Amino acid sequence: MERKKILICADMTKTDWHPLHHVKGAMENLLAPFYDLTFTEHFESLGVAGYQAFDLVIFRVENYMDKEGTWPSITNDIVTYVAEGGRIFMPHLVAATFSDELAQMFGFRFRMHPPMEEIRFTIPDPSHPAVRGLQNFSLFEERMQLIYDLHTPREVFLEMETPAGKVPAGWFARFGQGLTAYLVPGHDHQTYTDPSYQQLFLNIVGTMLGEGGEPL
Amino acid sequence: MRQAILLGDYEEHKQIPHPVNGIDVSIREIFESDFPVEIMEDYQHLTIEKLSGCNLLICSPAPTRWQEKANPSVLSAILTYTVNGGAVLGLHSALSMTVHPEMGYLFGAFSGSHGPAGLLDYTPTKAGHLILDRGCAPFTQEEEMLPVAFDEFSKNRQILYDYPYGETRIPAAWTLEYGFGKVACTTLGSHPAALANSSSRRLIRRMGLWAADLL
Repeated sequence: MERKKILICADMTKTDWHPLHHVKGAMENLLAPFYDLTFTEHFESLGVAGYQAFDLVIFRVENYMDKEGTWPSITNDIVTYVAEGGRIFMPHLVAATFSDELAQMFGFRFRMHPPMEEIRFTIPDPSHPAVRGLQNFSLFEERMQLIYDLHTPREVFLEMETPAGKVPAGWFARFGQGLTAYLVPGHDHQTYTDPSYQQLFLNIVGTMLGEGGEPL
Repeated sequence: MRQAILLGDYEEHKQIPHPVNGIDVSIREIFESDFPVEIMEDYQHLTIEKLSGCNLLICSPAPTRWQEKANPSVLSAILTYTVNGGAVLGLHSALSMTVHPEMGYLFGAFSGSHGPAGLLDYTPTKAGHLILDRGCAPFTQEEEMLPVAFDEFSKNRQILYDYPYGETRIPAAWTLEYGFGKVACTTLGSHPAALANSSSRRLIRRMGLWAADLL
């Protein structure tokens, strides 16, 4: 059977906060046994057809500002790609949601996060394919404070405990013919080597690729 | 050659809310000197290819029909057309399209059910918008009150007209950008008579031309 192809957009040379090299080895260990991986930080020139050459895009991009001049066309390409049936998974990083259209598409905008802390993640529906085999778990992570778009019909598979109560921490959202996913945890190597996180990450990727259950 | 497409549904034997009967005539008259308007009723088959040569997509579907006909492929065509530089004009019933949230993102607003019809006093805002030239005066029109909940992530949304309703003011016409595209939306146009007066016609024409970069 032909292996599915995943494009991973990430920061390689602009490495202020979440450089790819912190997690690249862990990502490869996790995904490469099952999928063909392509890493790039020059997705700005890919175009829609460039994204469509892959079965899934993982968007782990932060240094959006260095692409400011090309960001409007990147936004159009990503909106078009997903509307036409593409699938994009954005673990942890939030820069894409500085774009209005992508904030709507993913269903949130970033507000801030406090210093790293122990966060309890909980599972609202254990039968959901994204959390298969998982129980509630904790990670030393950045607790993203997000402004949720109240109109987005999100399918929440992970929540996190906060002083204000439980809030969505992982979800799928349909967009046109495509699908998006966002996941709060994913800051660094420590998270990417946590067994619960690894299982969750694989489940999300597998679900988005239609392996063993479709979301929504 | 320039061209506009109007998405709408004709009422024939079975009664439907907000049929395009009569609205089609008004819209063709409003844009008579600008472009021909093709009425598209089988919009369940709408494709990006169909829209690629379209200068303005005007949306006025019957809500019940939209719910039957809309599908992910139609949503994809409208989103892709708009984000890549298309022009969209939404009339009253366009907000019923927001049962699919993607259309709410596109129009910058979501709507619940409308209130009773009555005389509403439409007033131009001080937005300083290209659409609002000196000819855009206040006017009164019988129309259904339609509450509007803006999507807070919309890009460059500007309110053009509103009307007082009880203690509040309800937005009645606005513009926004979506990707490289331009979107104008009004809650005017629930029935043909609402498009009969010269003020609403003038406003709708200027909104359509603005979206189409022809103003």
